[in-house]
Amino acid sequence: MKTVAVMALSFAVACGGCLYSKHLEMRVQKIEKILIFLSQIKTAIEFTADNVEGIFSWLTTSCDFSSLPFVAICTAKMGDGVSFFASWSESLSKRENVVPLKKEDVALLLSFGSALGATDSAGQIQNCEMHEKLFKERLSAAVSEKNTLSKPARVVGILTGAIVLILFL
Amino acid sequence: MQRFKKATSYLSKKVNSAIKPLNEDFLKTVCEIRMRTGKPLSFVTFEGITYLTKSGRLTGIPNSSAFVVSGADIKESFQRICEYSVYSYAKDISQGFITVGGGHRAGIYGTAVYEGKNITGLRDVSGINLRISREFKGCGAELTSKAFSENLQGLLLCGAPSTGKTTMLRDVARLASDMLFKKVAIIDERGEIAATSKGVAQNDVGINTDVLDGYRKGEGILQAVRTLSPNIIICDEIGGKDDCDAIRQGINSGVAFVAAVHASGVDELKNKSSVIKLIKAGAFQQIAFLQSGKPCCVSEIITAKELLK
Repeated sequence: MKTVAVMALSFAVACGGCLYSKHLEMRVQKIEKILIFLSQIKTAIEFTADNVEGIFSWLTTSCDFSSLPFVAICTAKMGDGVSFFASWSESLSKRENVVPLKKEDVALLLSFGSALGATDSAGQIQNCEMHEKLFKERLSAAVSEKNTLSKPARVVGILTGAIVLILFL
Repeated sequence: MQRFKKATSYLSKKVNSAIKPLNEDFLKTVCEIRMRTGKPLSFVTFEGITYLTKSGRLTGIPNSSAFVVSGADIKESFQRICEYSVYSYAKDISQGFITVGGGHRAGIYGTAVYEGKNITGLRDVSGINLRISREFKGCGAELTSKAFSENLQGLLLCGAPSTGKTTMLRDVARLASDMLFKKVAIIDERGEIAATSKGVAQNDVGINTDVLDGYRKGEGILQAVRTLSPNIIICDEIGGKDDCDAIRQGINSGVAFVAAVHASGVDELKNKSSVIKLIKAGAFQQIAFLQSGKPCCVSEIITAKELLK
């Protein structure tokens, strides 16, 4: 019984390290996807001037944003007659929709949504560009965090697991 | 009532829920819903102006118990009318109105923002006038049969605001297209005649009808003449120099025009020199006047010769 428990513990510790490493990689991927999302919105506003609901519906059906589930949730809520910002805030409020983004990333998305649709085209393009710039900064921070911590986290996790196994068995 | 509900869905939640319980017979007579910041919510009906009280009653005289429209109501309604996409409606906002789904027109005003001599935007929106668009199928039957009984000829609809000119034009388009089997082109600059949404006309304007949505009348008329070979071109609220020049070119191509103009009577019409020039040029052979206070009701039809006597 003790052996099984120790093995499970060491496995959990090793997995924890690997998961943290994966978490860092996924955050980078998500921020990269957010940058594509912002660029698509900017293009749609500039060249089609379609309304926010139309743009979101196009993004959901024609582009692959499955890794950003809050986009599809927001689109569905707007389809139910909820206002854009309420839909956007609600879709970002649930942790499972935004994991592994940090609170600061989510706050930036909320700030983007609060200005979306509220001004003329020039203002909208500036809003997109400003948030693109801010997300690029967050992306470079996330990449350096991944480069610094991802490998060590995995190694530390596996080593700690092995040490637990050796010490307790 | 569906159309009315669709129109009020663009108003703020508070205002919409105050309107919902009102008597349907009353709502059927409402032509305009007027919202002004800090002022009572009012309805313009065929009979006059009616105000809503906080308790949901209707009154002819506003007092302290009136339902007052707040700045937040105006802001929310404005956002809803713009579908939360102000940039999509920048041109319309600078012109002072937005045509919403169903062809209802929301007049918007506030503080104008100028760039050079042109209004480029609006800040601090302080009032909204939602004009309810209706379809009265058959209202133009008598007029269509009189105007086009012998051959296709130009028809000018004259009337004061809220006399049903646009509603009448819509029905004439439908009848000319479906009953007379004529090729009809509608130049729907403000999107009020056909109420096109995502390329589909929300109002029934006939199966042989092409809708040029959002085109300026002058440009739309020329494009229709060049590319669509219409028998009849329909446009609302003519009067500008470009409109008149384009109509003049159109009549030279053998197209019959059906248009509407703001003029409550013969005298007012005679003061519109550009329209009179068009009539003299032979653009309109029949001139119909709509009755004030009784929507879509023709009070008199005269010929161009009689008018110019």
